[in-house]
Amino acid sequence: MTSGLKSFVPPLALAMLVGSMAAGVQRLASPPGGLQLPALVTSHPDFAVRTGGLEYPRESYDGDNFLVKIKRPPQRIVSQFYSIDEFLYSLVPPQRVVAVSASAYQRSVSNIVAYAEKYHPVIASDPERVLRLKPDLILVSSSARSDFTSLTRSTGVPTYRLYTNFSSLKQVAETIGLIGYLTGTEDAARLEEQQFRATVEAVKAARPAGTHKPRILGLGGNYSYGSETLFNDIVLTLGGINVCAQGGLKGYDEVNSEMIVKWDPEWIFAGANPGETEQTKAHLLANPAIAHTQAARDHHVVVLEGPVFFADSPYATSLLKAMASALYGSPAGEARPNETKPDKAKL
Amino acid sequence: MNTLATKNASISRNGRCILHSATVSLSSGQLLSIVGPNGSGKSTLLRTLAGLWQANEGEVLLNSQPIKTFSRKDVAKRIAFVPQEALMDFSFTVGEIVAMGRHPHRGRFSRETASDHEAVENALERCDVVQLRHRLVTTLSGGERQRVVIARGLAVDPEFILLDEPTANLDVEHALEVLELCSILARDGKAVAFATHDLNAVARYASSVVLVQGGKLIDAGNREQVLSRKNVEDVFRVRAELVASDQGHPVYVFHRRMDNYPAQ
Amino acid sequence: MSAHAEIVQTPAQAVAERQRLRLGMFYVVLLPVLAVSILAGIAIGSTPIPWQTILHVIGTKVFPHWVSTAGLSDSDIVIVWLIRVPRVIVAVFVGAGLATAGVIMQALFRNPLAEPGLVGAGPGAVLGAVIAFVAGWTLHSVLALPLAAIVGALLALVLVYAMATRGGTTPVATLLLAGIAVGTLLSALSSLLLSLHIVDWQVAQEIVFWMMGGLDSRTWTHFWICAPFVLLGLAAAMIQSRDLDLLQQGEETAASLGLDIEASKRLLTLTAALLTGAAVAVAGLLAFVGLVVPHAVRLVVGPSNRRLLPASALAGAAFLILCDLAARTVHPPTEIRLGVVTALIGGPIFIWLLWRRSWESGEGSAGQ
Repeated sequence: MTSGLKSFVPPLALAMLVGSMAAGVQRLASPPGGLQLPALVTSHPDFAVRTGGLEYPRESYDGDNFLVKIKRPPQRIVSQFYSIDEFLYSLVPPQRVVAVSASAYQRSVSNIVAYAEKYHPVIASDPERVLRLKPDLILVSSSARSDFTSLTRSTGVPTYRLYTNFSSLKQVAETIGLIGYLTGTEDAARLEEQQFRATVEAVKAARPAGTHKPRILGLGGNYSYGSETLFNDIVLTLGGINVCAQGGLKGYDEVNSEMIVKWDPEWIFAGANPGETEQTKAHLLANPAIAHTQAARDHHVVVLEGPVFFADSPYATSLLKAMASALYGSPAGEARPNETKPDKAKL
Repeated sequence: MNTLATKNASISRNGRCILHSATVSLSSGQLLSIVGPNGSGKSTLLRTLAGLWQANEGEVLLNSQPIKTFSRKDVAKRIAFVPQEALMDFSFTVGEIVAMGRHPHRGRFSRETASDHEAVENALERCDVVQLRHRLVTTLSGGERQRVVIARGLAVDPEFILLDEPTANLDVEHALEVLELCSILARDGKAVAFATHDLNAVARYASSVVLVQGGKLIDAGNREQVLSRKNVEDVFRVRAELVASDQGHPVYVFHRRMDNYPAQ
Repeated sequence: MSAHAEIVQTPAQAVAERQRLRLGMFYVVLLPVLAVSILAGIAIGSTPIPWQTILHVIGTKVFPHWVSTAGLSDSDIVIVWLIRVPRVIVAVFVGAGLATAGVIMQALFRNPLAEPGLVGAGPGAVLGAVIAFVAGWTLHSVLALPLAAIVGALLALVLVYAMATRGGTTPVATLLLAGIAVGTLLSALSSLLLSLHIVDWQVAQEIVFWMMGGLDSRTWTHFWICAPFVLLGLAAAMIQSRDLDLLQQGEETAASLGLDIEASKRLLTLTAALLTGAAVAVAGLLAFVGLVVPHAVRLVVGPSNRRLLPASALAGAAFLILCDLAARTVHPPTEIRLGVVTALIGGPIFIWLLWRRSWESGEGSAGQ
């Protein structure tokens, strides 16, 4: 076995070589902002908004802990994620959004199809197409590959990684402010953020006092929302109990029929393609596990259209309001006068 | 005078003793044959002599020095080993194969020298494969391959040439060619040893013989003494008769033994 | 005239002449093909750029004192020099590395149809990369994935080697079996991690895409990651080219000619694992490159590794650039994954080589 052990020596020596190679690359060919090796240890940073003063150049630490500098108000903004698309059209003059994610055009999830179809932003995911647009700000999500960000950063284009795995309405509100700061639309953002917070407060206030806490399940296909999700925070805001979180589910994860029967929710909210809510509802009720729940017996299975149900952006208030009206019958939250924002009439 | 010898060498593989305390010696000008039935340990003995396998007990002496004290390359320069099965899956040319025999003499970065070239030419000529030089080895017949592999051994310019079953895959004509070559090499002063179970080949060419069975040395010495009828009958478990050929060579004729074999 | 000359030549001379001619012809054809494919790889992209602009940009970067950047837009410079050139150069090194690893494996296992991933290095690199994805490291550092892949490849090799070694010797047959067993196990672990994280659809999509191989978003950083390993590996292989020749004759023959076969096997598998790891690290899994290229090149230049290694490396580079070009242009604007293209092109070539080989064996001329 000693010879077996000896065969470990060259690879170990090589592992050291690899390490020194990494150090060499860090010195020789490091992309701007460095290779972020320490970030490997603390891989999932928490949500944090770190911004500087309002004068230009503006500076803010992004989700990679990378200090992004913005010299003047960005005029050619590239978004790489569907929720960022929605944030942008809520704040920024639409002409300034030059590229969006493919989802922006998809009626099944997008709240901003009307904007997209009017202003025709490019769908650009490969770096060459993105850079060809001469962008002055690129916004990427928590899940964007570092290959992409390091490439765009190396070209000198400010590239900002936003934290997009929201787990609370508060984070969405703060992100509205952050994006306003980054895009030079802080005034619009302040208004939007105020309205957003006001809607949340209004829904909270309109909650019938002292009543029973409804037990709620959210379903997107076979997946559901446990603790640390935006849906969970919406359920809490509505004074309900998220049965998934109670059952120990964390994040967005798969649920099976047995779990649904065991948790026995009183309300089930699900998403569907626009125009297919009735079919989806019938499909859900055809599942014996769902048919067996209190929710089904009480006709409390509510199917909402995808853009409402899946919104991870300022449009999250639509879900909040839709659920409030289903649960409590009150069209709560009149605090948002431009509720019909994506209406074509306004464009 | 170069000598290569094993002294009480034993070899175990997977806990089984496959060579038991063998003492054999080979010296310049000698044509030694290692004879025994299949699985008797003759190839093991040959590999031990060649320094390819390390003896678990006892030692191998090269010119009276333990072989372990020589570097791998020094051993390779002195002892050429010609394996039984030549692996020829890749279409090297005959010239390339024979030139590989110069490996122990060449530095890692050195080019082919005049003496390398000379040794290769010499080897090609000795083995009568000059005309095959540019042929691909994958296109050769079995006899031609065997000669090419022997040529590679000769290109080493060794003091000792050890061949494992050199005639096993050859037809009569090519087998005779190879054996003839061995005896010429021995006459020229090389020490040659080959393992075989072809007793008639041994009877015709070898000057001295080692008889092995079941990993043990049964007898060693000159041919007439070792290949006595009794030894042959015991080791090969046949009935043997020794006749003389037209030209006076001793020839063995074998018959199946009808009696039950004695328990070993 | 020429017919007359052929009659005068002996068949043996004709074979030698043909082989020398073939080697010359190989480079006469390959070098221009490589040059053209490099230029085409740089010239063709998802947005059109005139070739004068491309040459101008390359000129300003290669001869900064001689060529001025006047008349060039920033985005042209960025797209040519930071996107297209690194992508092609990385393709050169990945192709060369995989082909070199293939040559080593084929000599080591004495099988012209062996491939680089055989000693567990390929699946090990994949597992390392999948772990980097799943742990979220890839989000934060460009270096995370390549490092994890290279370390994975080396650890897999150590595991395979430890399994196949008994009493100081490592028979290649055992090495092969251990490599296949460990490789299958590691692949299963990768699939397990993938299926556990399928919930996180973006990560899962990244993994699946990466497993299919690709050279999108390659930067100069990737070049610096893989090029030293490939150059080191190629140099190590060249230094050992005669040892490879000997090993192809059988271990016993190699040992009798003075080769320390165990040390040699360790060093060679390590070299191949490094090359494979570095290639997988920057380009994902690329099937058939390391298998088909050395095999095809051997048919032209012969089996001598001193000739085969550089020839295969160059051919592998050209092959991969052309495959990448196909991946980018066949179905615009979507890129087809590079691993899919190499498999679609390499697979049929491989089948043809097999068919040709069995036909030759049928003629009774080829061994094995």
